[in-house]
Amino acid sequence: MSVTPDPKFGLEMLTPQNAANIRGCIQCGKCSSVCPLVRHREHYSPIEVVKSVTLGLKDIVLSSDEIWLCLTCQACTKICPAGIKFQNFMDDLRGALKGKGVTDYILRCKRCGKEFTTTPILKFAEKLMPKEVKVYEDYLMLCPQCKAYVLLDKSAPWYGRGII
Amino acid sequence: MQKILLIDPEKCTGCRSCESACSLFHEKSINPALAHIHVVKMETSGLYIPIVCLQCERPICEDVCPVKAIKRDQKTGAVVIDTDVCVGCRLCAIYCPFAGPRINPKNGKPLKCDLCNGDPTCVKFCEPKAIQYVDATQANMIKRKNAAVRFSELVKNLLGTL
Repeated sequence: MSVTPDPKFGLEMLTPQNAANIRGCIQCGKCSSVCPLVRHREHYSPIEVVKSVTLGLKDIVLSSDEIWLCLTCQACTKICPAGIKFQNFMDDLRGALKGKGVTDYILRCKRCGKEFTTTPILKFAEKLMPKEVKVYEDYLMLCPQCKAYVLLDKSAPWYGRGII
Repeated sequence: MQKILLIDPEKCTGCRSCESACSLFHEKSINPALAHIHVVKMETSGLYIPIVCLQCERPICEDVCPVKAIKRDQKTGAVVIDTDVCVGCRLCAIYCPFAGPRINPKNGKPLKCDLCNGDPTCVKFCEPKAIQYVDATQANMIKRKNAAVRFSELVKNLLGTL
C-alpha cells in the first residue's frame, strides 16, 4: 500500500495552538511506556498517532480506530517532557472526525444522551473480562450517573434476574 | 468475620447526611458530589434509595481495570481503588452493575466506598438507621426476619378475608 503524505493534514485537523504544540514532540516514547492500553494491545501506541499526524499520513489516521480507543486518562500528558497536551490533541482529532461525519464509534447514554464512551473501548474491555460473564447490552448503554436510576426499574429486562 | 453495609430503603428519609459525612471524612469538604455514597430519589415509587458499592465477592471492576488498581483489602474485606495507580479511564464505572463507583468531577478518577477502614462514617450519621454495618450472617438473619414478618401479615390478611 502506497501512502501519500498530506502536509496540510496536521493544520486541517488540529487547532493552530495544538498544531504548533505537536511539533515539539522529541519522540522519546515515554507516552507509550505509561499508556495503560499498550500492555494489553500490541499495536497501540500514542506516539504512532503523534508521528502519523506530524507526517501527515491522513489515510492511516482516519482508517484506524486508535483515536477512538484512547481512554482520555491523561497519563501521557502528565509524563511528556516536551509538554505536549495529548488529550487536547486527541480531543481535536475526535472533534474534527465528528465534523466530517464519523459518528459510528461514539456511544451516547440512552437515558440522558451524554457521550460517555466509544465502541472500541467497550470491545477492549470485553477482552479483559472472564468469558462466562455477560452483561445486558441495554444496561451498558447507560452513563454511570444514570445507572442508579435505571437499576430498580421494574419494566427493565434485568429486573429480578441480575444484570450480569 | 466479613461485615457489610445493610441498607433498608424503606427507612431512608432522604436527608442525605450520609453524603455530607462521607465527603467530609474522605475528601475533607462537605460536597455531596465527592461522596462515595449517593441517595437516589425514585419519583415514581416515592422512595429514597442509598446507592453504595456492595463489595462483591467477585468484583467485575477488578477484572475490567486495565492497570489493576483495584484490589481487595484483606483486613476489612472491602474492594479498594489505589488512586496512585488508577489512571481514570472510568471503565469500572461503566461496567459496575450496581453503579457503585462515582466519578470525581475534579480529577476524573472514580470514588468508591472503602468501608472507612472498618468503621463507616455514614452509619454513624444515619439518623433513622437505614444504613447498618453488620456481620454478613447477621444481615442475612435480619433479612429473613423481615421476610417472615411480611409473610405472616400476608397470611393473616388472607385468613381474615376467608
